[in-house]
Amino acid sequence: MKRLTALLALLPFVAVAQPAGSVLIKNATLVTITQGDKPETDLLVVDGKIKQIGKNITAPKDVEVIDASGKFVMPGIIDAHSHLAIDRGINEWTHPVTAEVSMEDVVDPLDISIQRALAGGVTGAHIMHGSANVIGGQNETIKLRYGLNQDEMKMKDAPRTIKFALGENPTRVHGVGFGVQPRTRMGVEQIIREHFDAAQDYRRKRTAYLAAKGKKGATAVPVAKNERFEVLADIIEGKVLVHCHSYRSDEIHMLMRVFRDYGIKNYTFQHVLEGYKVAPEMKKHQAHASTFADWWAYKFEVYYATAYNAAIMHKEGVVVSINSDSEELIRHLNHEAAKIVKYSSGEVSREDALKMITLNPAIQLGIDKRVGSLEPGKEADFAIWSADPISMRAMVESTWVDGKKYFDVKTSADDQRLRVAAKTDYNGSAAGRHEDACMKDVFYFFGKDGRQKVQGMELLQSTEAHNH
Amino acid sequence: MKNNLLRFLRRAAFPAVTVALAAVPLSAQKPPAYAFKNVQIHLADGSVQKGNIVWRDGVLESVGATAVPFDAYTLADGGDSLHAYPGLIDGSASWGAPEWPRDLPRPARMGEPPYARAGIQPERIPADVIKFDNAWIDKARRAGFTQFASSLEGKLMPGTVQAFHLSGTDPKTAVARDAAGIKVQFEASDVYPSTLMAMISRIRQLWNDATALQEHQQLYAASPSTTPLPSREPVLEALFPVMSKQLPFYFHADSKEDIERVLRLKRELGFDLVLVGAREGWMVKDELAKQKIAVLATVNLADKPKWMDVKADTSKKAPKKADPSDEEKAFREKQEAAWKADVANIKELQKAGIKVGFSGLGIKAEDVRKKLDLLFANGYDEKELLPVLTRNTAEILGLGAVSGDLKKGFQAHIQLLSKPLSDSKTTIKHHVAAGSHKDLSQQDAAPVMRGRRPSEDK
Repeated sequence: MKRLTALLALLPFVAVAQPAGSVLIKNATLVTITQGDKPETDLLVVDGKIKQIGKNITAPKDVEVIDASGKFVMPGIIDAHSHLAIDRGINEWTHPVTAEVSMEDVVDPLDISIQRALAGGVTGAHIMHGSANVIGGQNETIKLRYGLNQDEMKMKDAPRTIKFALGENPTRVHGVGFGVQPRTRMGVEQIIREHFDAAQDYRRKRTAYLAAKGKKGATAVPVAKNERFEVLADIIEGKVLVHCHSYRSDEIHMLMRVFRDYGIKNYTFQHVLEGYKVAPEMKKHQAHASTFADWWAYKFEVYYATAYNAAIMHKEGVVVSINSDSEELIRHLNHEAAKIVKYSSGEVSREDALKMITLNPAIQLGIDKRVGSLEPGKEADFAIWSADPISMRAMVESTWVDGKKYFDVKTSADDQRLRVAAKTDYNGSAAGRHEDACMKDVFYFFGKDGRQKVQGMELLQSTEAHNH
Repeated sequence: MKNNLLRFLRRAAFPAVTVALAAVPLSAQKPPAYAFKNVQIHLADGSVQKGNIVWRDGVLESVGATAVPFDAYTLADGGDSLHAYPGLIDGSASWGAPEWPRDLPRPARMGEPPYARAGIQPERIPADVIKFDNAWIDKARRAGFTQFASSLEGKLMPGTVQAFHLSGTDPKTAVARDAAGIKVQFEASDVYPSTLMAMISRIRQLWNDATALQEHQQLYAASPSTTPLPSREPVLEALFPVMSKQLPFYFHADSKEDIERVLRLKRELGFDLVLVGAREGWMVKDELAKQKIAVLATVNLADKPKWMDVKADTSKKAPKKADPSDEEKAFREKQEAAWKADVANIKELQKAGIKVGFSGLGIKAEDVRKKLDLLFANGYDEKELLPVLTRNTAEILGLGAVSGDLKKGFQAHIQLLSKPLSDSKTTIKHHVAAGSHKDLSQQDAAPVMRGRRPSEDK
């Protein structure tokens, strides 16, 4: 159970209220994801949960009715890899292992990107630590309840997850930049193993100390609680799901070996652009894949890529999701799903492609029993589309979380910023695209000319953009 | 005969002589009194009375309609036109504090820097590092301040919060309270912790480490022969008084979200808290009130947006300005609401029953007046602001029993103004800090303790 959740359980007076709504959507084509499409069907939502799916449903008293004739209703898109809504830094890049830091502590509910994502039919996002470190920080699964506070944004009781990163990013920052391990991919593996071993050692000592402490006349020397090793030990014990930034097949294979050695299961490779090379092995280890449709070549280790990656992994039986890793791409993940159909030689159906942005990311985040499809009992996170969401012409008309509407293309105001500081200059609006991916905050190492002196050292910029 | 004489001396003469001899030096050694005569006396609660203020040896001897004693020097006779106020107190000032050094060498391991390199220095004592420099002291005095709590500059934990009075030239001799708390702020370092999330984690780990160290030290104290010698860690030991709630964290946080983060840490770790800054404190005022958390509120407010002050120019010569777009109009609505909320913050906190003191952090002493003018011009009166600037801040700093008001027995911290504090044209004439007087009626007035005794009045 997450720190906050535990805390709230102990302190009911600070319980977080997450508003839930009731609504009846009439005569829509329901893209259920798990039960196929249901034309001219009603969807009844009561108190934030899907109550009923069927024909001619009557609205309970005081429940709003929306005529969605000719429209499509799809489960809210879930982005398994995002960095939106994170306050002041996604990369604690100073140490190769920073498992103790957590997005849970720094959710930024004011980020305008949340509203933009809602406008793309997204209702949930996995907000992640960056990829500067071999073992980065803990991630947070949020619902896009734009306008609520930071605790209310969190998806209560969603499983804990953590970011790992392999390859060029950690070796470049720590090995090349700081002159510490890891400088090579071998070093990356060693960092993981050493820290897992140290965490297991810590847990033994800490557990022994706590057991001895409670006894009469205890004289055991205190073993301080270690925030970092607590998380690492929890990973080994299966309490934290790993989402690992990766590209090359050899390093993907390496991590599966390491995890096998420590008994770690149920993990997801992020990016995983060479997943197509090791898809059978991934299937064997039950590793999931969260990838891009067609985004590559932004650094050396991401040249050997193909748009057929998702389709190949899918065909091999790997649970595949398509993510954005971008506050722009997150607005049209339905297009990314459509590309998977195109680049599959008929191996990926429309339904499977849409699953890659709804149910499959939910599986990877451990929330598939709650969201990701339109089924009675599930949480009512969905969007109403003007046309089939797989279509280029489809537009999101409204987006709902827990049965409450957070975006409406007709009635939402143009300026959706929740707060404007008194000092804000209108002409210097905060709007606009900024670098938004896994290496955010580390970019300032790399000047546009390729070299920039930072804190007495020089780093070589190997390519123009290091977005992931 | 001899015995009788001795008995007489013992019983009568000797005590009498002793008393007589003792009385002379007592009278002669009594320190002189000083007085402001015929002034409007403004108390911290905003009430006003006419009278005299007399102090001796740094302590207020009388305030109000009592006579000025014969041995008092009258430093100013207001003729009822001068206004005496308690000296202002800045609950969080970085005056005289050294800046965080730039271009520090990179440590061998960025992720494991020494405490000081990471800006974790709760053991740092302001009296050891700040300078009482005439340049800033004079400005602070002219702004009406007589006391301040030093808020050292730095990173996550820059140091102990220590209170001073603005007299003398050596901070070590001007300490009003040795330790009022430990300062904490979400100020990222260039080494670990370099992000907000890591700063929060670092606080947790420091707490864990300090807890373990304290337990180890206690274990050793109880069983020295069977317990390994614990280490001594000044950084962690500086947190012990916070862990035992003898001292609070003076936690700087302005945004609603940061304040919520601080409250969450407070719930987790269980420390006492003084919230510093709290620009958006009004958004969480109910929770602050419920937890009885005192606030040292910022007055570092933005100027009123220019467009809010533009009056319609109907003259024919006036160039025609295009109306703002719908988008800009919507923006202006939000900006105006934000500005008004900033200004109303202190009032809202007070209404919620929160004790609000003053933090001048981020403002130069000479600019405080402009911020006060802004508040007075936008809905505040002296009854609301004076306690913030004096009594409440004194109480938050643990000085409430001796300063923050003009009361008999309190330390003499006085500012004598030409007009009421709320009048933007007021100027300071005299300044008294811990009984030490400065005549500020002239720009370069010599700081001397002179005046006229009533007996010299002819």
